[in-house]
Amino acid sequence: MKENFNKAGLPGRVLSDIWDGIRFQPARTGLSFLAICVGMISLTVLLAILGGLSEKSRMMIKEMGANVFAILPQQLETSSETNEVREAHAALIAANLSDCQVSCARQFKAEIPGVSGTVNLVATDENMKNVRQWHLFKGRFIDLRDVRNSERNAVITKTMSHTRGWEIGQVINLKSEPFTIVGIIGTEDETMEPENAGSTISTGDKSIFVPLSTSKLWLDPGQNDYYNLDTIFVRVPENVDFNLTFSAVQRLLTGPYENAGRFAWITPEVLLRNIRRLQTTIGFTVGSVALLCIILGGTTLMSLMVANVRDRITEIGLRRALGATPADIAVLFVLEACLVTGIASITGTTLTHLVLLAARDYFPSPIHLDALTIITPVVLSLVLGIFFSYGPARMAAGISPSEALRND
Amino acid sequence: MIAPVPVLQIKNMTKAFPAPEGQVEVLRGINLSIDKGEFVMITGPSGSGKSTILNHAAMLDKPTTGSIIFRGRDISSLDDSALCEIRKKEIGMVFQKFCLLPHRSVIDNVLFRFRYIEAVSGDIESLAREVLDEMGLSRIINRPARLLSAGEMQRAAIARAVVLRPNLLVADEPTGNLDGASTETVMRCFQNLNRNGLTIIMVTHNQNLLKFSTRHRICRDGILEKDCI
Repeated sequence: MKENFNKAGLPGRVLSDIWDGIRFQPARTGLSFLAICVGMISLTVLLAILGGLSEKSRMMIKEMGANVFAILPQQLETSSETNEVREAHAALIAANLSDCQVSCARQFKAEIPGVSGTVNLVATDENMKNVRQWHLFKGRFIDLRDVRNSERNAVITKTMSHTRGWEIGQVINLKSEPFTIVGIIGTEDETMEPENAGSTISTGDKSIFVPLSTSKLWLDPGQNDYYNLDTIFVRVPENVDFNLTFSAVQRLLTGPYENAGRFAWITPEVLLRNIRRLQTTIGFTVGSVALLCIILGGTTLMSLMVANVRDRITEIGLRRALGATPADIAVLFVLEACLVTGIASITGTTLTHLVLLAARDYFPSPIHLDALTIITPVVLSLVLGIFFSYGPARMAAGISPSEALRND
Repeated sequence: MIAPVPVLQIKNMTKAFPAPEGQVEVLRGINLSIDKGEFVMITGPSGSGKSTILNHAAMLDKPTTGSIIFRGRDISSLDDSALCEIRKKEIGMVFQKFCLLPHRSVIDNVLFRFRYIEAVSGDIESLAREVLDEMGLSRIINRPARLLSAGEMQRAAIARAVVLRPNLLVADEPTGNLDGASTETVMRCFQNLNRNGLTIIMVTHNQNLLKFSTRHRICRDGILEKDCI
């Protein structure tokens, strides 16, 4: 006996009603579905990129270290001007600001057999780990003896250790030179920013650190910029004013033969500003596409619902004759729209996630996928479904049953 | 001995619709009383107000003045949701255009009668099968409604209207889209239902159908004339 059949079968009845409505106009429903789906794909990509950029800025700042600023050679307009950052500059800062910790780095790209892509070789001094507050997982970092004696010792990142299976004591060949791994490092949460080719601020998680003095091994024959650097990092102690110290260093590097404007000064604030500028640009471009698709999908949906109401006037009359209230009729059309937008967004979001997960390594921008990139499009699609179907649903609810049944 | 309460009583009912030239009165002083078990037919020329009377009997419309009493209860002042509640269980409706859901099967169309009823005691599928059997449609219960003949469609629509055993069956030109043979079959169905105690009010143009009714009223220019039978 199916006692109380209707109570138990309410979702089923509602779904049957919605399904009836959808197959009433398959072409128009398909069009709305497609437009909303494309809108949600754009939105998911936008959220993933913005999330990726936020994650990148967080990791860059974390990797760079708190209270740290970097000095880089500035890209100059005329070649006659010198823009080199040299070890002498680092020595000058260290001598004048004894509170601060100063570290130098010079980076090279190297191809290592068995490692895909290029590896970042970072020639640095013994202060780098402390300046950037990296965490030592195993062994030791490069020390003063390594630097003075150009010891063939190397420190690798935890990612390199994991992916290559390299351990302390293992000898690796860096451009035909055997180096012994003496330590494994990372940031506090055991990660470093994923590989970031071309950046001298972020060394990336695919890096090998070697003593600064060994950098001559990778200079081209005849290259005489032995004392040149790519970056000087300065760590300001927490009890010292960061801005005052920063200004002091700028003054220090401004003199009769020097000009602070020749250097690029990178602070956490500058890093954040650059990332935010990028976020804004991407937000506007991808966001515009997403917004256009959503508006297009929404208006298509609205026209679908209006046409649906007009075409189903007799059915509305029948439902009213069978006891449906105006609210029942309105809810029917709103649910129908929400189902179309909901399924479209779930389809679009799922497809985007699958594609981005499969192709994230080839994507030109950092990607971050999390619950927000799933929930936001789905919730937004439901809001859109309600918003764009509200008018037609109200129209349907307002139709007098006798008028509806008289309709031809 | 107490006289039985009429199923439907319409007293001095008028109905006016707004029009650009002002209010147009389509019904004027309608009085009608239908007792339980009656089969009342209303005939009249097009535009005379027959269907409007029927819409009021089915509680799809409210009168401008006058009252409608359904089973002893004045329903003219009830709000929309209260009227919906009465329509759900106590009124069955049959339409000229059948109003079936074309993609659904015959039995699903009959079960659609229960769509807005929260709880039903008994096996509604058995009820639907039983009534479809009465209508001679038991062999095609799973056929989509769009594939039925016009006569079958109307019998399915009648099955949907009576599956809940309503107190009043309202039929608006139910044979308007049917050929002679189908009309005869459908009218036999109505007659059988009436003989089993169902009260029916029906509007038609077809004078040949009057033989199936127990009472006949003519509607002219918004006025219901005295009983003809």
